[in-house]
Amino acid sequence: MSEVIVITSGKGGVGKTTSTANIGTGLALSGCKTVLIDTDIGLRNLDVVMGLENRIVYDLVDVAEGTCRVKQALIKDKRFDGLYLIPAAQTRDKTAVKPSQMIKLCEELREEFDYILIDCPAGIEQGFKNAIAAADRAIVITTPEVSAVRDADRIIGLLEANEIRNPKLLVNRLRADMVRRGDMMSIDDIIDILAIGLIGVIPDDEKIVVSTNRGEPAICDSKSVAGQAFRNVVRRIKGEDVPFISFNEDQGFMLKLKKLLGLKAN
Amino acid sequence: MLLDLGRIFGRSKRSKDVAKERLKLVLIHDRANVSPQFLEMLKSEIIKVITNYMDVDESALEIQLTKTKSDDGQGVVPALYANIPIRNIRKSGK
Amino acid sequence: MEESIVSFKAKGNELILVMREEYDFDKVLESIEKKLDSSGRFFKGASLDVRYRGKKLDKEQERIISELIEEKASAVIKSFEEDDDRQEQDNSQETEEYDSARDKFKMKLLYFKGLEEGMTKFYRGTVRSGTLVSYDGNLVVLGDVNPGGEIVAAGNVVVMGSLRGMVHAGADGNKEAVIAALSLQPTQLRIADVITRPPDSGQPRQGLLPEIAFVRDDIVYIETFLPQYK
Repeated sequence: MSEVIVITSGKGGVGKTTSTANIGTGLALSGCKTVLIDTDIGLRNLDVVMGLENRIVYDLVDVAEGTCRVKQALIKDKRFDGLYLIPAAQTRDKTAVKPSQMIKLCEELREEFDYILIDCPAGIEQGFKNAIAAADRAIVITTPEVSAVRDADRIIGLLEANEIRNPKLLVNRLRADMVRRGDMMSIDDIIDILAIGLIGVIPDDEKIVVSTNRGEPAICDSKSVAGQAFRNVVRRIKGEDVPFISFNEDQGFMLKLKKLLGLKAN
Repeated sequence: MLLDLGRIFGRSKRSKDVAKERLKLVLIHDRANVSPQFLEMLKSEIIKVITNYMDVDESALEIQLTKTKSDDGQGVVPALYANIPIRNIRKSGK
Repeated sequence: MEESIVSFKAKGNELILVMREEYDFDKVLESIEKKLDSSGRFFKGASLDVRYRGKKLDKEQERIISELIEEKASAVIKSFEEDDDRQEQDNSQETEEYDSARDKFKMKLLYFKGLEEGMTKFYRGTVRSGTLVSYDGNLVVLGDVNPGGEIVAAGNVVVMGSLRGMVHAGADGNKEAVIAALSLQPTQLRIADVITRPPDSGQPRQGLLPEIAFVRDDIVYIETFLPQYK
């Protein structure tokens, strides 16, 4: 059984690539043969986040155009067995690949890999269409900001229109302290609006920046809180039931008082 | 909110609630794929039809897209909300 | 146009001569002669298996063209025969079996040889991520090459700035091509069909130190480029 999972968000900069790198590494660490495909042609980054940028010879466009065979474009990760990357082309654009070619590629990869993770570009144009073409499942990334949640909503609508049912939500860069103060939407607020299932909550973590600098996914760092959260996401992807750590706002004095008085808290 | 003690004590509304409210409104429009121009057109058409039958206060006419519980009570569906103050009903029709 | 009557293609050690059927032999011969006058020096000293396509030739005509190429291009013609499709198919199967990164680059028999003196392009400005600068000759970049930027040149590449992107020199097959930069910290270097990348543990160096990269025995060597010590 192999699965093609697209990691998407609509809005840029919410952490699609970082999440793809971490989840992919986590899946490989847990013994699943995993391949990551960067579909952000012209703005590739997954290679840099994985620290594999200097190994690129062939890329996604070469595979799509038949310049090389799929095997030749697979870059083996330098740290983990069973983890591979197909990088995007940098000096081309999104139209260099067609959805039909993505489907063909993924069909071929399914024979060899347990998980095929597709890093989707920002936006809802050709790159998005390519990225979702072959996907069985989708993980929608958002941050607790109005702009990101709005775009996530649009993406969820588009995924459903393309028959990718039950996309799962990954809330990235949550700041528990701000949620407690009521200055950041909580997970419940976001779920309330988007009305989809949650697959993970990644707290805001400086270590992500450090690990990206080094080209080593944070999931390898046992001290990183974001790394731990990504490990939980991986377990949930594999079907385990992992409880969510509560990041909700404090039941502060005022709220408790309201409850005491029998008033609705919200 | 029926009674917000925070507000009574002079505290401003929490920014996350503002965010949530704004988001909900924006999303209703996004999901229904409706532009303000579309609403304006709808509004003028409605007035045109209604004034055939009754005298309404056009300046106070309020129309907006909102959401409501769906019939089965499960989900939330977009709804068209119109508040049309009537001045007088024309018995004769046209 | 004259050029369309005859064209040369190089494949492995073969020269494929494509002649348009609709022209008569004298016209074709004239075209070949012109073509050899302009580009015949590329074949100099080579020994070629010539195969032809398009126009059918008789033995006498084959001999005439063969002699013409030998004379004009100072090349040795090992064989001269009509190209048939069957052989080509075999060839393509062979390439498919060939499992190496190298077949990415279509190395030509008639590769660019003007390393000492030849066509050169000067590119002014920074080659940024996503930009591909390519030229069928030598290429000089008056600026930096950033990560994600690509330089592909048939001849030498000189970067008057920091080279942090990917450079492919001798891109159509010339292993004599060199890459020089004021600061050589590339993502990847390619010379002809040889690919190299910096070691994973390498610390990025500060400041400018001119270096030159070249190929010997299919290995890329990098040397400090300080002419006064040479």
